[in-house]
Amino acid sequence: HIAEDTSDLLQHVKFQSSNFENILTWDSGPESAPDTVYSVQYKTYGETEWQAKEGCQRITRKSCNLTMETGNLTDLYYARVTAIDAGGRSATKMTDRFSSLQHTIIKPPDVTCIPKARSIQMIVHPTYTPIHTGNGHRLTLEDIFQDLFYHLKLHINHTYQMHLGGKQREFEFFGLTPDTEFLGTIVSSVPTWSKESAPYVCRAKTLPDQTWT
Amino acid sequence: DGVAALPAPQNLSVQSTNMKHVLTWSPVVVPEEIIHYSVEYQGEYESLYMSHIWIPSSWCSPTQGPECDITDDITATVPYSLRVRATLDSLTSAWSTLKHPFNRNSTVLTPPGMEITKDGFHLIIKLEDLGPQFEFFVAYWKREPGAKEHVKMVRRGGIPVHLETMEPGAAHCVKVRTFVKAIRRHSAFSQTECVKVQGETLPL
Amino acid sequence: LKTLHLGSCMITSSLQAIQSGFSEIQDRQPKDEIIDLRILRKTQPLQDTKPAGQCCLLHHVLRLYLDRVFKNYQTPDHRILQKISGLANSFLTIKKDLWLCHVHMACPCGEEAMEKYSQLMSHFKELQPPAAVVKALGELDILLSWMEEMD
Repeated sequence: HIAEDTSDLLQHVKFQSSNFENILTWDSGPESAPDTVYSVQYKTYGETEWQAKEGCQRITRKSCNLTMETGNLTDLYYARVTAIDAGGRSATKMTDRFSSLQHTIIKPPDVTCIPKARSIQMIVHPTYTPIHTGNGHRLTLEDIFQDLFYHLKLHINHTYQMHLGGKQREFEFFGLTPDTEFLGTIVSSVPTWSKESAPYVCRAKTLPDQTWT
Repeated sequence: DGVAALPAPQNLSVQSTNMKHVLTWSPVVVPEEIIHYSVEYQGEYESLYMSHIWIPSSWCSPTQGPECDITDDITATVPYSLRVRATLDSLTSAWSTLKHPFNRNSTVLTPPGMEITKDGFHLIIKLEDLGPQFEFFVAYWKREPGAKEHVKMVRRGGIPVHLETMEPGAAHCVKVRTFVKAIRRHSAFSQTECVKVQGETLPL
Repeated sequence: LKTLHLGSCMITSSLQAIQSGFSEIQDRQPKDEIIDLRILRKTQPLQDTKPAGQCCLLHHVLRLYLDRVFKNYQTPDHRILQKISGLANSFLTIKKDLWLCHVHMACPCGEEAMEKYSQLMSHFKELQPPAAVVKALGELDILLSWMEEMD
């Protein structure tokens, strides 16, 4: 009996994770029909049983949110998808080993830029993740990554930059010219895991200087 | 079998400055012939645990020039043994091995180049870009008796960065040195440069 | 640079450089097909070991990697060989620092550390040598994350 090659039903099964929101995604194969259905299972690395993911059994969409199921930061996980087409053909493919600490991407921080006459204040807001502690407390990125820090740049007429950085949340660029537009970029950086977010960008115009009016 | 017909390269030595390491040797000369060389290395781990293993260098197996940039091969702060041999068609020389293993913590760290400018009252510094292994330790102060020295760590060179907002009429001075985390060493300080608002860079 | 606090032993290491070296080969290694078994298990992590024994446990785990993992890793790919060499020599640097702690009586081997290490070795020995080497190398990210937490 020669097993039929059904690998064309399913491809690119992988986790896509940002700020610990872990989404399993896949693509249909070049030959698969629109009515193909997909079922998802997941397991913890080192354990034997696969668990069926409720809500992602015999679905037609090509993604499944496994955030809750893969939320333990000290564990590593695998997931697999089984595709079954109308003709009863099926194919199963598995992800690589997934570690949310290692693989999650950090989104740009949420920042409020407050222009004043001769300075611009930047306040970074905490970034909450879906990860909870035992007592239900929701963890922020700063809670999870002890060495997370913010790196701020203020670009001054395209010739030079002012730099500030640190773990605190409030920063202020001083010594600016009133009534002038500036471009600020703020990134979150985690040296330990060589992670750096895309920049949050804010444009701010310093206020006119009222002191001399 | 023709192995000893080709002389082995001589005078192997490593020149290392600012974490760029280059192995050089005296070329083997055979009139009207092009000689190729192969470079291999052993870290302390290989020499201790698997001494028969030599690893081909990233860029010079083979190479034509009598030198090899081994920077990408020296990735740990341990002694590395290095060897070179010459080849000409099917002829291969014996290996020549560097007399003393090379450790990157012996690299020469030069004071970094810096460019001091000002924009209005802003004092701006642009540092030489020496690559990701280098951080810059910038010291700056107002030139007056008892002035406090301020310090700023600049992560990367190559970008003009605002250092401080100066006070009119006072000279502000700057000096800088590099720090290399991988070998936990820093360079000597650069020359001090001073700038006065509404004035030109002052000689020391 | 990361400072690792291992009881009364304190060392600094560039874990970030090691992590990025490992990331470069992670996708090019033979895949660990045995996913029902894990060598570095949650029950023996470094950070849950009493501080006094942490240095000893790490020293033994590094010795496992130096003696039996990097040494027995076979690959025809020079690029991977170069990266493995970088990892092995970086681990050797850390092991030498831990040895200095041992010399200065700051790396005692208590019962707990030795018990955890023997459990870990039993997981390693459950596998055929080639499979154990592939699995242990694949679990370097686990070891590095254990070490990351030692600050």
